[in-house]
Amino acid sequence: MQVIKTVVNSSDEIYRANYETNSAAIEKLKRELSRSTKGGGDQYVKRHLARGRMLPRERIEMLLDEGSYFLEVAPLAGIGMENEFIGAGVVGGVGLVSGRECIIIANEATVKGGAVSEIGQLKNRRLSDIGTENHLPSISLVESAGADLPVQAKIFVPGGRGFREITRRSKLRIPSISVVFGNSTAGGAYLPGMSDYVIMVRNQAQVFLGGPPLVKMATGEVVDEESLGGAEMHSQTSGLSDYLAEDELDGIRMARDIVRHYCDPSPRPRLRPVEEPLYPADELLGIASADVRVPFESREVIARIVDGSRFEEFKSKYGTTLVTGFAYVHGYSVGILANNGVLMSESAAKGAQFIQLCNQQNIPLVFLQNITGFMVGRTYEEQGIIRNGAKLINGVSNSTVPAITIMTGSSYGAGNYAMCGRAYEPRFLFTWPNHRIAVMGPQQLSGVMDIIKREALAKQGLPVEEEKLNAAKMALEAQIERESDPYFATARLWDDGIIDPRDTRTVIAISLSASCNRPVEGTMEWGVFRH
Amino acid sequence: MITFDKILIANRGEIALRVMRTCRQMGISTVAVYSDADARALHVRFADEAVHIGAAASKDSYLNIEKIIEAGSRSGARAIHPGYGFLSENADFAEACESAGMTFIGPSPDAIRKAAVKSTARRIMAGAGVPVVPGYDGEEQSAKVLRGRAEPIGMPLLIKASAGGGGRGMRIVREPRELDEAIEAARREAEKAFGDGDLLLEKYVEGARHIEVQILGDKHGNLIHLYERECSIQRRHQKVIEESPSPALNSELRNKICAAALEAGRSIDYTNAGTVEFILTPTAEFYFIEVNTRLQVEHPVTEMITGVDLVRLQIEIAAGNKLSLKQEEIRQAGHAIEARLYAEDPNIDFLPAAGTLLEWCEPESVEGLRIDAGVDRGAEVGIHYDPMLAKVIAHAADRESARRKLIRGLSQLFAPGVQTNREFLINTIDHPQFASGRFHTGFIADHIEELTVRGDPTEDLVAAVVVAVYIDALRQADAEILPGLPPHYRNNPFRDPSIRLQVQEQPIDVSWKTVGDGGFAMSCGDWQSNVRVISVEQGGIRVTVDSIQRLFRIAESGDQFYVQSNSWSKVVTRLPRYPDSRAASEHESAYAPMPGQVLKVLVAVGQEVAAGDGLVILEAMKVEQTLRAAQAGIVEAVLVKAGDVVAPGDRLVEISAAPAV
Repeated sequence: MQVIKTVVNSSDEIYRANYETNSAAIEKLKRELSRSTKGGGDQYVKRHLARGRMLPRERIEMLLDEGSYFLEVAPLAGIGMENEFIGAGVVGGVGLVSGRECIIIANEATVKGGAVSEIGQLKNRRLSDIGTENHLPSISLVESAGADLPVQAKIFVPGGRGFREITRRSKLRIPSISVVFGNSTAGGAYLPGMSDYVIMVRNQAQVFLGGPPLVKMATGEVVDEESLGGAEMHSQTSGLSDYLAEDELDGIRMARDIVRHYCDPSPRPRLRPVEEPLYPADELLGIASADVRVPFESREVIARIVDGSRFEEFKSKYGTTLVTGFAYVHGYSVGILANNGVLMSESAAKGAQFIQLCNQQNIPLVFLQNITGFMVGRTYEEQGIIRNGAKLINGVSNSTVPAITIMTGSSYGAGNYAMCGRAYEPRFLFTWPNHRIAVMGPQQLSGVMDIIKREALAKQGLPVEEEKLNAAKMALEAQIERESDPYFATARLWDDGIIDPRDTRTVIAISLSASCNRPVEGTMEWGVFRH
Repeated sequence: MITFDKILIANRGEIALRVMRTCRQMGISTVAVYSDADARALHVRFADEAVHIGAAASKDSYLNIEKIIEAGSRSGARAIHPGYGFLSENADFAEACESAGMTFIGPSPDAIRKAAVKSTARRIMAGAGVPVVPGYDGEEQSAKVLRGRAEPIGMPLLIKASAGGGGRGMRIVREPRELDEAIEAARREAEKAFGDGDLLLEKYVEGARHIEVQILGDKHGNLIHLYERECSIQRRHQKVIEESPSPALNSELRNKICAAALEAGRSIDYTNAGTVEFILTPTAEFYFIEVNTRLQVEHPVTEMITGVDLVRLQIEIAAGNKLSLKQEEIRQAGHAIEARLYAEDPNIDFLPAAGTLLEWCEPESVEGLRIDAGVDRGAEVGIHYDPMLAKVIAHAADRESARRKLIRGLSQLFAPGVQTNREFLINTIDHPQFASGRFHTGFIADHIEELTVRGDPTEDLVAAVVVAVYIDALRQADAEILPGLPPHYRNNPFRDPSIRLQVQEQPIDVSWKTVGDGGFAMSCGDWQSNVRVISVEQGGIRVTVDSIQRLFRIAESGDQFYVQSNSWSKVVTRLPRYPDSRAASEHESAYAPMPGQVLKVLVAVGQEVAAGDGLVILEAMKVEQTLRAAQAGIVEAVLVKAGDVVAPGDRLVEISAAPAV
């Protein structure tokens, strides 16, 4: 396998400008991430700690193996949204517990008592899906007041899915554990209720369908919380709790012990010895264009992600706007598809063929997205750009090997679909801070709308009011610009998080390793290719 | 040359090995003997053959004449080397060897008997014109007589066991009112150790030095000396550091003292290797103390400055050969110092330590550095025998060079798993007063604070930090999933990785940030240090701590990490990540603080005790310790009886809180 030769010049002016802008973007990312770890704010955190309880992140740290990584999913979910806290009241991700890769989901009790918000529910769902898709055992660290009642209309109906998924995972032999640290009321009571293993912490856990006020309303019975749904009652009388923990750490220890007796995950593919890339990851900040309209060489990105910077390029001379080839990441064999310009007929067809090859050999896919879309224009339509693009989308849609998508720049139009965007269910999807996502670029979009409006006016024979049209165009451009922002996207779970580009290799490796908990089985069955 | 084809070594530990080494060189087969406790000991593995001789307790094995003679006969040994201690100065044993047709490698039973009873020896020596300390060596032994005889000698007074040696049964009395108690205690100890309670009174010379002379006689009337050894660095009459030549002797004094030693030897027709011990007063007078009729622990210093193999000569003489060396052929060349490495804790009054040696790494071999060890990796250091693990001897052209070489040798020695006096030895040899050569037998007692100094408290932190990065590095190396990943990777950092450790009872929380490749910014509270891991090696980690690169040796056993730099060793304990949350017991219990044997139980179930009351007398090696109640209460259970062997932490007595009055 050949080593990619770099042509990056760190004293180059564009490099330096990119480096500066991207560094600033990372600083902003770090600031926002830091905010996400503060829970519901000082006052609530203090109150929580004063009750002798651990913060959700502390619980996670103590649950994880020492030295283990933790890849937090959607840490900035809900950022900038109304009625939402950064992180949406849930902390979750992938890490090692007793040597097993697990999905961990913890309620942030300092945010509205751990009540589930609209985005919180979306995030729960995403974390649950990661467990199901990758066959990862789940551990829920429960302390939640239940549904955020004022927004019940947005969450009640879809909320049932979460409980359904726990038992469906159970059927697939993907076990779940609930450690109940506090409230788990009403619908929330089914979280432990559906789990395979339930641990309740003495004098803390309270699990009931209806709390004392509701019981009194419904039947007139007067009962205290501890006898109604305390850890001791559930461990000794109701049988809902399988393990009675003396305190929080004891409960966490029990969860670790339970994971220890799980059977081994499916055998991993044979791994190659790990080689670090030859070039420093730091240079990615100078390589990635701060302005997504400026293209950059995707092989330079690949060279800083893959083992030994070695890349076996497939069809290097054909359909050159899509780079395809084989490499290893932390010893895992991967097939990489990376944009190197706008998608053409040839590049789309090449991509479809490459996806088929990877499925044939059970090789996971890595998509490095930086795509403004498919080529437009008469010649290209005549060549069958739609027909060929459909091949690529067919391939991406029906592929069954794990796919991991990294948004490294722009993600516009059908390019988002063809390069395994969120709707195409990559196992994991992360973005770089310089990333922009929309159906098309803000200028193009507002320009298109402007042309359409002008044509409509012309058709109706109405006069063109330049000022009004310009103002509308500017407003639209600004709106699209705002909505293309990576924080807008990550707030809505369009991705699994914004990452420091320098961590890309690590994040891909964790994602690949997690994906391989489910046997990697490529398919040879596809939709009809439009040849 | 007449010799033996097979020798049984009636001993264990380093001396058994040392004798066997010479036997090997002489082409003599070796037979080891061993007790239950020593079945896998190094001396057993080193020998050509080995015979089991009984239970762990010395009296049932290494002191059991019958069993040893039987082992010799059964294995076809022609001679028996007794080593030192055990039966080495037992005339009955020497006789038993001869009557069983085996040669006893040592002096004649008659010489042993004459020397063994100190009072007898004193009288003979005085008769032969060897200067003796003013004192009483009579046969009348009643307390009354001893009291009466003590008066003219005056204070301070030294009480010794007539039959004794090695400091057992020895007491210094400074006040007349302490006399009775001291006599009683010395007698009890003497009876226990030697089966003979007779005592000897001597004027105690303050500021004396201990000088001894190695002598060697054949069965043809030839007697030579191999110069002196100075053994003034003692702790409770137990030698710790020995050297030759003595910095206290000039050639005139040396000649006199060596001549007196030969005189002493001749007066009892001494054959084989022996040592004549003297005290040297601050005014350069010397007095005879006793003759040791055996090979001494400290014989290597003599061997190193004279180039003579004393064991070889012992064997040659025992076989009936004439001495192959003449007096004028013996020269003192250079200077040699020996340090005795003991399993003991100098910080808790030299309490004997027990345990398993997790490693045994001797210093790299350099010319003039000799290590006589009786243990190796995995050795069980128990309570049954002398806690000496090894001797480190350095030889060089002059005293200062030998001293430096010995310090370096000791700092390179790594014996984790058992507390040793290594740092104490280094501190002693490094002490300016020891370096000056001006010291006496009170040196250790006078400087005990300096010699047992715990060192800079940051040493504990450095040890904790080194163990933290070591644990982290090993964990990373053992990772099954994504071993190449940056350790502790977080895409959304929350807390720095940390670990809870404990050094000398003090919990230490160590946390760190990764700074570049292999670099860590470590914090323990307010203390910070930059650490870079260079390599993780077998049994250690090479790290740069605040820009100095060193190898820290580390051995682990469960949650304990024994970490050693050149100048210190520490035990770092990993505190459990998930503390046991079960409720603690409401009873008070007395626990064994050290391994040992229960000598006596002082309380019975149901008995009321006050805080400070004695509960159990425990004996380990030569130390008796009374365990006392920490609070008043009722004895609820006695879990041991006299004779039981206990391990550190064993519960001995349970006391429930006193009923409310």
